[in-house]
Amino acid sequence: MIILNVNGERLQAEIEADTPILWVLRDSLGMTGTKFGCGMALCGACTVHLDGVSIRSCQTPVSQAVGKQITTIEAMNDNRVGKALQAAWIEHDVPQCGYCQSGQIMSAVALLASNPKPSDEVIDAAMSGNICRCGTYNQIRAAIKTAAATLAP
Amino acid sequence: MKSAFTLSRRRFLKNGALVIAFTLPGARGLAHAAIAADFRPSAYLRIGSDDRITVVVGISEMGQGVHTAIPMLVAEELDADWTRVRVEQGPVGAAFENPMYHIQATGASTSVNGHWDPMRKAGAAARQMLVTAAAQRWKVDAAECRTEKGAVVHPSGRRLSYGKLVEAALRQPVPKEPQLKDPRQFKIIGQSLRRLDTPQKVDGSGKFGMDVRLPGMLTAVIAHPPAPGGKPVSIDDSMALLRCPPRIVR
Repeated sequence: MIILNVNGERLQAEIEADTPILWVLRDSLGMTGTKFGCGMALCGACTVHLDGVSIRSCQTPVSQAVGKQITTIEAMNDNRVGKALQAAWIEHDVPQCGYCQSGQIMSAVALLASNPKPSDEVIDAAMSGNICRCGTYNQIRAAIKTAAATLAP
Repeated sequence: MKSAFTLSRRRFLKNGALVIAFTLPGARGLAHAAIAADFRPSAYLRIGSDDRITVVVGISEMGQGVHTAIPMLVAEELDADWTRVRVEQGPVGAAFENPMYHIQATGASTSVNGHWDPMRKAGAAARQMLVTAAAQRWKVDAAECRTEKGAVVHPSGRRLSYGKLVEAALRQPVPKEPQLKDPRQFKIIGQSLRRLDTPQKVDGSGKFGMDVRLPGMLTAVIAHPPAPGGKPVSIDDSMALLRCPPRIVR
């Protein structure tokens, strides 16, 4: 028995301790906003937050989440930074196929939470672990800057 | 899914929306397809009494933008208010076949090309039915009426939004060859509009193939041989069965 906190909700799960968080979210909880990409922590599609820090959920065993907060894309509608990024994503028409975008936004939320006014170089470095087959990188960078501007006090 | 095949030329939806079912135009080049098309009507368009317009697209959105481009074709001829247009993924069904391939497939840059006429006609037919409905209510000649941004208007100043005309429009016959616009009149086609599918792609609610769960659905996993050309001699699935017994099927 493992006790988890997902998006502020306390959950109990009968699950093997080494099950990756991604499959607990997708298969056990039916939360499909977090995507399976490579399964090897190489593409960033599965990015979620563990206590606010970006992690690759496909390679992080659920045992590491015990006593911590898991936050996913599904919670971003209620997150100030997340909402600003979603609005900027829409304004810049960022997604094409959209498969990587949950992970992109989760990485961007973690970036803006720690650095409210990142430079292009900082954005590129922070986002370099999230791969987009459609090549929406320029729009992502522009959207992050728009969101940063709207969040500025 | 069966209902997609048996739709009459028009029908009510349970929610009272106006549904435009439309016969695909004669398929290009193939006589048998042109004949069969008359027996394959489909529903591409719903107009709700709340003025919401839903375009049902049977094409896969893969980032190429068809879930915006196809609704634009319908909205153009319908003179829709673009801010009230939304898109819905169509089901699997003959009605949603690619008019050029005669199978429900997405590819080879045929989506807009192939659906250019049928989708515009779906919008134009709906528009014509709405105009007739408004003219009947006002007791005026339909030719005096015009349409703009989701409403029928008359020179006298009268105006009815499409949503208010849904019930009356349902009783109109579907025109077989609705009048299409001269491309010089296009207001929506040719514009660069924001994509309709973006909101679902930024909050995790968008459904991709891998996100679909059906009752009793199983996941197949391929065990690859360690070397090319390898053939299975025996299978040892004891570890898999040990770890998640209820989920493994032999």
